[in-house]
Amino acid sequence: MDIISFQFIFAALAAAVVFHFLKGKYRVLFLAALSAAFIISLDLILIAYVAAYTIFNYYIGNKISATSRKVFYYRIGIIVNLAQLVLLRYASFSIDPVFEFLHSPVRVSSISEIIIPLGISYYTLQAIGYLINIKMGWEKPVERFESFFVYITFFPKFISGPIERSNHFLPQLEASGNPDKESLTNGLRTVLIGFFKKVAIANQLAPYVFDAFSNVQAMESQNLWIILILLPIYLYFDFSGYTDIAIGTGRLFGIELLPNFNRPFFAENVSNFWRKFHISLASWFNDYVFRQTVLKRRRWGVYASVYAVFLTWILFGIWHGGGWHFMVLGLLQALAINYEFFTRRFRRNVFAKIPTPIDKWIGRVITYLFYCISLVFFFSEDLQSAIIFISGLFGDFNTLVIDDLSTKPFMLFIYVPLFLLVELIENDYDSLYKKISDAWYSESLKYRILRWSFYSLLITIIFISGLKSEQFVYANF
Amino acid sequence: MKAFIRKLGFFTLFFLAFSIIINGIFLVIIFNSDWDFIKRRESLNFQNPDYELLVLGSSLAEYAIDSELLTEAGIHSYNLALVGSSVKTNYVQLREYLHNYENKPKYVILAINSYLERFDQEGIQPVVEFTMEGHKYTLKDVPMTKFNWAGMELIKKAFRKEYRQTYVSYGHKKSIRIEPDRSELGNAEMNLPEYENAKYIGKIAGICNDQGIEFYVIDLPAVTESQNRSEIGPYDLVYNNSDTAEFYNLNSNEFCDFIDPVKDWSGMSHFNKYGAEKFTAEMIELFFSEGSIGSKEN
Repeated sequence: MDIISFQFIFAALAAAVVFHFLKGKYRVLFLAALSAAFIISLDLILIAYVAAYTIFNYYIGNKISATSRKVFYYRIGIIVNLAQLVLLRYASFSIDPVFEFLHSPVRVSSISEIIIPLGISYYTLQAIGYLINIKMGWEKPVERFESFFVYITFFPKFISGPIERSNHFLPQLEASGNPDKESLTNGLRTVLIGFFKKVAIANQLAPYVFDAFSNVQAMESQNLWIILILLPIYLYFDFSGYTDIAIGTGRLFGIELLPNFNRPFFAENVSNFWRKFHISLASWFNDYVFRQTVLKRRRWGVYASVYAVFLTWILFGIWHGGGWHFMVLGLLQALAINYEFFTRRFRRNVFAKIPTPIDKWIGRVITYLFYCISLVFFFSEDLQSAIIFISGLFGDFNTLVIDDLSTKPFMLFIYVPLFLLVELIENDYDSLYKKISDAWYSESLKYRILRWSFYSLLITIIFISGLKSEQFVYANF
Repeated sequence: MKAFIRKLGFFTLFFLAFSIIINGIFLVIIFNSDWDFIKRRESLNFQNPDYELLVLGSSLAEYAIDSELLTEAGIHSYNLALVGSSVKTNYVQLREYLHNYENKPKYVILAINSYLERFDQEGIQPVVEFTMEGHKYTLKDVPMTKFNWAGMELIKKAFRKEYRQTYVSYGHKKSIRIEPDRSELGNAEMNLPEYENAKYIGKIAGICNDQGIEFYVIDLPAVTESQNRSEIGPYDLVYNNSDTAEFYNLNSNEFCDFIDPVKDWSGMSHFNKYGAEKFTAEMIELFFSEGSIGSKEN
C-alpha cells in the first residue's frame, strides 16, 4: 500500500476508530495485525522473513536476559543481524566482487531479489539496539511477542523510520491507552503537513534532482549549482514529509514516535546539524557506536573521540548503502565534526568579533553549503558520478537549460520560504512564536475558522499538486 | 473518540463549503482572465463568423501562427489552438465549429509537431471538455484540480511582466518573452508514419473532405535539436482510402533557416511574437502567394 494515497489515509483512520473500541489487551494484537497486513501489501515473502527475523531477535533477547551465557547469545544476535543486513543490502558491494574475482558465477546479491530488503536498515538497527539494551541491563526483555513484533514492524515507520528505541516504544505499547481528542487532532494535523511537504514540495522538485543526477555530464554548470543548492531542501521536505506522516499516524494509535527533524537549516555547525537532521539515526549511532567506542578506547584520551567520530560517521555513511560514495558522505561528516572539535576555541574567538546575528547566519550558511556538497555523494550513483557532478560545477556558464524551473514548480518559491520562515520564528524568536502559536491554536471562533481554512487550503493544494506516490528517498534504505 | 469524530465531521463540512467557495471564486477569475477560457468563450460566441482559415493545434500552434497577420494579408483567419490540446480536441473543436456556424472555412491547417507531441491521445483539453455541449460533470471537473495550470499562469502573470504583456489577437497568443535556443541540429528524421496512422487526423480529414474544406497538416518548427533533415514536401496523407490531407514538413532544417535561434523563441519550442511573425510570413509565401497552393482557387 502506498503511503501517499487516499487508501492509506482512510485505512489508517478506520483502523484508529476500531483501535479505540477495542479492549486494551487486544490493541497490541490489532496493531501487529495491521502492521503485518501492511507488509503483506508490500510483499508476501517479506512478511515471512520479517516474522522469522522478529522471532529470532525475541528469542535472543530473552536468552541474553535469562541465561548466564549473555555474551554468547548477544554475539550470536549481533552477528546474525549484521550478516542478514550484509547479505540483503550490501552483497553486491562486499560479497559479489569476491566471487567475481574468483571467476565464480555466484551472485549472492540475487537473494535480495527474493527477499526484498525493504526497511531492513531501519528494523535491523532497532533490533540491534534492543539486544544491546538487554545485554547492558538498560532494559528488560519484552514479555509479549506481539509487542516486540509491533516494535519491529509498526507500519507507519516500517519503510523509513524514525528508528525507534525499544525503551521508548515498548512502554507506550504496554500502556496502550486511548489517544485523546487532542492527540488525534494533532496526529491528523501532522499527517496533513507531512502530505503537503511530500506532495506539494518534494514531489515537484524530484524530477529536477533525479534528471540532474541521471544526466550529470549533459548538465550545464549553472543548472548543477541550482540543483546543488536545492538538494538539502528537496531531501528535507521529502524525508520530513514521510516522518510527519509516520509520527501523525502513530499518534492516531496513541504512540509517539521519536522525532527525526528539528529545524535543521538553522544549525550553526555540522555537529549541531546532526542533532537536528535525521535525529533518530544520528542519535542511534551516537549512543550505540560513538559512546561505546569512546568508552572502550578511553585510554587513548582525545584520540579516542577522533577515532570514534571517524568510525561512527563512516558506519553512518555505509548505513545508507554499499558504495564508496556513501563512505565519503560519512567521511566528510567525520572530518567536519573533528575539525569543529579541534578548532572550537579558535572559532569562538573569531565569531566573538562578529556581531550577532551575523555570526549565526555565517555558521548556518557554511553548514548548509557543506551539506549541499555532502549530498552530492548521497544522491550520486557512485563515487565517479559525484566527482563529475562536483567538477561540473566549475564548468562554463551558459544559459539556463532548466528554463521552466521558475515557472513549473513556481509555487515552491512561496511554500518553501513560508515553511522556513515559520521554522526561523520558532528557532530564533521564542516569545513571538509562542504568541502566534497560542493565538493560532486558541478555541476562539475566529481562529478556528482561520485554522480550518488553512488546513482546507493545504488539502486543496495537495489535490492540485497531484496525490501521486513518488518514491521516498529514504525508502531505499 | 466521539468528540473527535464529531470534530472531523464538522471539519469535513467546513472543507466542502470552503472548496465550493474557493473553486467558485477560482472559476470566475480564470473564466475572465485565462487566455484559453477567453478564446474558448470567443470561439463559442462568434457572430456569423466568416473565417477563411482556421488553425488547429496545441500551444505550439497557438504561439506560432499569427492569424492577425494572415488576416492583414487578406486571409481572414482565427487560431483555435489551445494549450495542451490533443488532436482529438482539435477534431472536437472543428466539428463543433462546423455545427455551430453556417459559413464554413475554406482552409483548415492542423499545426502540430511529431517530435514533441503524440497524436493519438484520447484526452480532451480541459477547457474544451468543460465547456463542450453534452459534457457530464463529475468530481474530476473540480476547477482547481482541472485547471490548476491556469492558476499557475495567473500567479506567473502576477509576478512577471513578460507574462502580463502576452496578449491574444485572432486567437494567436503573442509573447514578447525571449528564450534563446542553444541546441544543435541532430539526426532527427521526419516521422511521416505517425501522421499517416493518426486516427484523429484522419477524422479531421474526413470532416474536411465532406464539407469541401482544404485540409493541410504541417509539422511545426521547433528548436534546432528537434528539426529534421527531411524534405519539406508536400506529402499526401490518405485516410480510409479517400479522405486526404496535404502534409508539409515545416520542421525541416531547410525551411527553418529563417529562424533566429537567439531572438525568435519564447521557450520550450514556442515562438515568441517576433518568431511567429516571421514564420507566418513564410507560411503566407508558401501557401497563399501567387502560384502557391492556397492561391489555386483565388
